[in-house]
Amino acid sequence: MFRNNKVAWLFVLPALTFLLVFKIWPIGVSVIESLTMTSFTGTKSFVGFENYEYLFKHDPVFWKSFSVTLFYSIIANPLIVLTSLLMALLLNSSHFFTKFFRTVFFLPAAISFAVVSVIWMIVLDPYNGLANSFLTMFGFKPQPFFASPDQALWVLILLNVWRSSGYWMMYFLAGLQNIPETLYEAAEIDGASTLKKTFRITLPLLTRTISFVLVANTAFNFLSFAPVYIITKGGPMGSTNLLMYESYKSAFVNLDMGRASAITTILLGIILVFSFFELRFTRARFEY
Amino acid sequence: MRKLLLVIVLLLGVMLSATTIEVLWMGWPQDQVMQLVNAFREETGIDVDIQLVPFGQLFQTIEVRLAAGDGTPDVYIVDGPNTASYAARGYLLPLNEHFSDEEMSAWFDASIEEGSFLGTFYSVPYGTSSAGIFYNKAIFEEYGVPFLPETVEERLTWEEVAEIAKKLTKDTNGDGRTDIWGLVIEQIDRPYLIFPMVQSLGAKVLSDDGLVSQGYITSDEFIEGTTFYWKLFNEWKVSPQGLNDSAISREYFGTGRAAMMLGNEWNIRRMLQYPDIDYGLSPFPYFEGGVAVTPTGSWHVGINSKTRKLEEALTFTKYITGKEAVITWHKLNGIAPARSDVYEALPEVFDNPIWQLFVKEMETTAAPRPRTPGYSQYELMLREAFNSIHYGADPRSTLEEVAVRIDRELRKYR
Repeated sequence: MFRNNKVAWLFVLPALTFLLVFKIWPIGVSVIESLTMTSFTGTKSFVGFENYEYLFKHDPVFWKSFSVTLFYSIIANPLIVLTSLLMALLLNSSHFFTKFFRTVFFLPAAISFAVVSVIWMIVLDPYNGLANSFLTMFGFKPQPFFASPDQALWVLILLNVWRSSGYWMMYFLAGLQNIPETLYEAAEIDGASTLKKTFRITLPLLTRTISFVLVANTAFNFLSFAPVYIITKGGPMGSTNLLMYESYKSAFVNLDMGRASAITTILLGIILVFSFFELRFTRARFEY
Repeated sequence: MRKLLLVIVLLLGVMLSATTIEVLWMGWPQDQVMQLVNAFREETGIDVDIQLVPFGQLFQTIEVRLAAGDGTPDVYIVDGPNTASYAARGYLLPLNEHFSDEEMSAWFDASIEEGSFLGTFYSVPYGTSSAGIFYNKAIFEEYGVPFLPETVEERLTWEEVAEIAKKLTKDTNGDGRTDIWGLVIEQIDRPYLIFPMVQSLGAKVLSDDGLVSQGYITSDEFIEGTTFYWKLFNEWKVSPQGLNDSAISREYFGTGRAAMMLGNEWNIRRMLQYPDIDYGLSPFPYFEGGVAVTPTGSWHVGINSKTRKLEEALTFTKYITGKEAVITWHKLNGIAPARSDVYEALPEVFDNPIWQLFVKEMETTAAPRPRTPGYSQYELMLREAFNSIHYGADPRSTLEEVAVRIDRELRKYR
């Protein structure tokens, strides 16, 4: 493809430099760090896989956090992809109202996650929150939300769906605009129903977008941090203690850099495995 | 043209000669802090780049900044019990040679002790603290409960406080949600307020060398005290769960949604923002058959051992912890001063019976938090354990589990 390799490299160079300096290098540093132990005076010593051994064999907090993170991602990921896809399908026309709703649905994604967290924390306050006032007004029992170990993670998942769906919807809308109108016209002449057009034309031709959104969203969910840090601090009773937050605490409160880096390295591994399978299952098997 | 050049050279000279020191400070309201900083700048000509960090992020920020090891910030705020941790890692400049005996004599002995590690003075006392039970007189009157005793001689037991709290936990509109809570704990899960409970039963919270928690936070006395704390939220339901921000607890008390609040001396000033409340103060309770113990300790000021502006850093530290600045700060923020000369200088403030009670507690029943180089890890993990317990986790198994984890972290300081 590239006859003249030198020119090709020249074009890639700027992007590659940034990638190397800001992505690959830090990952390397963190992986190396995960093989060391830092004494309280700051001197590092190489300990091999001791940090990993400790995590896997003797650290119940890590395992709890691990399963919480897995549960969170496995529920949140498909939920977000489905809602955003559904929203995109419903809003893929140029009617005035759909344009208006596109903006409305995108709005949550335009607010910083920190602000979103604080707002929902106030709305969902178990004793004085707006949400419970509505519930009691309509005769329902007030709910503890973030104050309950059984509900907190679910509320966190819903919060994420609310905030992220509009964002990924934009990718799906862009994908939908790329599907040639002629295909639909041809199908209409053949008498295809709307449902049939969606399943036979829209979804298959949207595979690449779905694939991208799925993988990007997987990484995004596994690395969730802000709402946990701001709203729940991992509680109640460790029910929302996602691995990123556990790693952060390990690094900056417990000053255990080795354990923190080992956790992020494991997290990186999980994301790679998930992304690999997601890419395999959503590979487009045709060209258009 | 030549005049212009001269002016530029002069300006440059002035700019270069005025030094700026970097100060990492607790996120108190900016307008309050800046009054002190501006006064300091006018008096000394030293510029201060003061960075206010909210309490929730403060300790992590200090860790990250100091680990960078570039000599900044020159001066930083230190929570008293963290002195040992910073000193052990060489983050704090030893101060013995920079402070005369006369300067040292101004501070309470307990505060100097809190600012020292292995006999060396590392952090200068800025404030101290005490706590007790604030109670809302209007709520007590409305439900016909007699006012609480306000002298240390008539100190209530925790059992009595629990009974009163049960009487004053009310669902006023019958919708199934509690509208008035019997007792809120200002800092719901901080060992600071919970230690005196278990210490009243005779529990020790850490080994003497500060490196072992197993056998201490898992002792029968510690668990008994923690079980009482658990009952407040889970059995008697007189305290609301999930008030994870002390400002919200204060609002509960200030707006009449809590009859009592276990809280700090700074509320004397902070309750001014709720002009309608008429409150009294009852001393920190004890357990029947136990001893009276109250919390103490507060903010200190430390100098970065790697600072390149030692002279200016010292000037700032002495200024901000000096009598005049502490008087100004007390008037602005209400924190209990760590200098006895400030108490003497402001009789109109401290002759108030509520202040007198706090001062008496500081002199007689106050017990500092344990000294260990691993204090921040110890405190955070214990705090998470208390947080779980207040949500309903079993006290014994939670404490036993956290003790193992704490001891793993403390092992590196041996």
